Amino acid sequence: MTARRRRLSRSAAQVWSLVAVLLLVSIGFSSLTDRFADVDNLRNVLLQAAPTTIGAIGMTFVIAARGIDLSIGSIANLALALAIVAAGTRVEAELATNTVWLVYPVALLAGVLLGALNAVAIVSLRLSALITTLGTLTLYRGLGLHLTSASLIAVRGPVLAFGRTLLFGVGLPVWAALLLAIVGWVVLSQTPAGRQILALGGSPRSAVETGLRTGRLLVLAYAISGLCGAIAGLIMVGRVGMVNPDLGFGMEFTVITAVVLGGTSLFGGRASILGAVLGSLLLATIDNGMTLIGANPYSYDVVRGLILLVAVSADAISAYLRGRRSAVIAELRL
Amino acid sequence: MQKTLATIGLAALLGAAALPGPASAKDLVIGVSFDKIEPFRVAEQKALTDAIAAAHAKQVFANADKDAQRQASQVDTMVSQGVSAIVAIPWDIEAANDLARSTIAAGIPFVSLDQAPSDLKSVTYHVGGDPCADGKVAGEFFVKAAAGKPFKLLELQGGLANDNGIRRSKCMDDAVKAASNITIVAQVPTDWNPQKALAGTEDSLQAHPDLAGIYAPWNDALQGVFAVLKEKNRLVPVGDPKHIVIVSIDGTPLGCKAVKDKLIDLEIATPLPEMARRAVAAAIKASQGGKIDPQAEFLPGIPYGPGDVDQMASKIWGCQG
Repeated sequence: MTARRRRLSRSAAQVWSLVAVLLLVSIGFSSLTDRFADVDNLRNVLLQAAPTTIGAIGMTFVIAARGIDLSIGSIANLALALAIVAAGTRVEAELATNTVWLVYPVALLAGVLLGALNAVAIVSLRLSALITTLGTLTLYRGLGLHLTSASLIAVRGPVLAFGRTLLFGVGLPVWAALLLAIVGWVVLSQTPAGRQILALGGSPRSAVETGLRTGRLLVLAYAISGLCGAIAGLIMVGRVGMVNPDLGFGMEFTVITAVVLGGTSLFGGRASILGAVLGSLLLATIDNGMTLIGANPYSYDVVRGLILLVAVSADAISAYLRGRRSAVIAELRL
Repeated sequence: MQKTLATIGLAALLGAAALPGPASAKDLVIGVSFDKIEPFRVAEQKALTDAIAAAHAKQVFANADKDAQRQASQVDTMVSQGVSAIVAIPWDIEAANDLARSTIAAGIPFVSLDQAPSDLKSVTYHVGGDPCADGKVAGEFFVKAAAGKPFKLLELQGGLANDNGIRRSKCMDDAVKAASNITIVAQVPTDWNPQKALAGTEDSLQAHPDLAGIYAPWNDALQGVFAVLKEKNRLVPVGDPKHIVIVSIDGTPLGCKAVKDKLIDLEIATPLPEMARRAVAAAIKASQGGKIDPQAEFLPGIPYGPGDVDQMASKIWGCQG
């Protein structure tokens, strides 16, 4: 078995483990409340998972290239702050800001540029991705706070449309997440750029030696992550109806958790868009189910942590079992 | 040479600042340490700035950005700079105890504002809202609104690692406990995050379409709550049969507007300017060797609703301007 096939089979195993855990969790919640399996509730879960899913798709590109983007939540925050400042008009009597459609291109462009800026800093200053994006996490958030004066900005107008529009009875963010997942999968696994990102993550040294333009690949990966951060920000602002200083706070951890749960290796070279989508769905399902069953508020983190451990262990156990089976077969051959 | 002079100058400046200061208020520097920056904190910072300016003192400000370790470092830096007193909103109620003790041991009074440390004896003085009294008022309002009929209540919770979050919830729970007609269908931990408040409301309304009340213990949650209610055609004014009873706490401009728009039934406004005045007064008095008595004060919020918002507006900081 080639190294590439081994990596693919490992990703597939992780995805199947995650599907099994997601099913078990869903069955568990369904047995506790008949409201869980309701179609409207499943729509809720999909809608609530959409920002994390989109962020996780972007983060998958970065982690596949052996990078990390701790600033994704801050990008969501700053991109939206910039967009509201550029395409919004404050109406004092309403205590709100009216927006125009320009808010979308400004937010998306800001996301791309802020993401790309991370990569430029990493490549040109030869800094570690962790340190660089830890710095920009604070820098971008600080700039966002400065632009909004750390105030809560209630928003009106077109900025709400993306988060609140239904298409065939399902929220537009869900369709956007689905579309981005398909595009992300195609780009990552079916295009030269995607395969080069995986090659860069698998072995940066070999990537350089084989003449890959590693700097450009990193800029591409981080720009995608920034773009996805801005899209997630647009959904969150559209849904809640305001830009608040906490927008995107802690998003990086949720998104990275979803990506890693989905089988993408933190050491690069192995990535799964489908896994990232399933990881996001699992996280949203847990929160949704806990609320529906009226769980003790202090148990949320405990249950979430336990299920995540089970999801990660399921992959490790299946890998162990596969290893044992191979060993037994080898012994029989001897 | 220039570098050396600059270093000597800086050292002299810091040294001068570190010397035991005279009692004049003009020489007083208050170190203000915030746990985070968000709209309510911005209002608190303004109230503190006004109070410090009124006392003819100066301030240095630092934001810990939800990091207890960072807050400790910032306060240590202020102490080494020779501030006269610290006024802090602690991020971690346990870590605040040691921080306060070490600051006081260095001869600098430590005043906690808004967020009480777990051991009140560790600080020179504490002044804050009374989260328990506010939660109790909210609970009693729900009991009254339910009027003995079956009443399903959603309880959004703030941060469960800080005093305001814990006690605003616990005391509301205690107040409705005796009313067997009230069922708390979900207690959703949000960590003060409006997005989580939105998701919690969405899920609860999905599971309980006959939801009768929502407890939103901070104003920033309201936007998310309103977004869900609007989507479900339940965002209607007080008095409409489809209206869901909503109680919130803080008294921000958005909270006041929600009351004026009759979208919420009761708002409990934190007496923010008064808290800031008392904190600064205690910090200055303690830095000049004065005795602080009482050592802790909890100021209950000011309840108001659509019926009396016009009369109460002058007392509510968020209704002014």
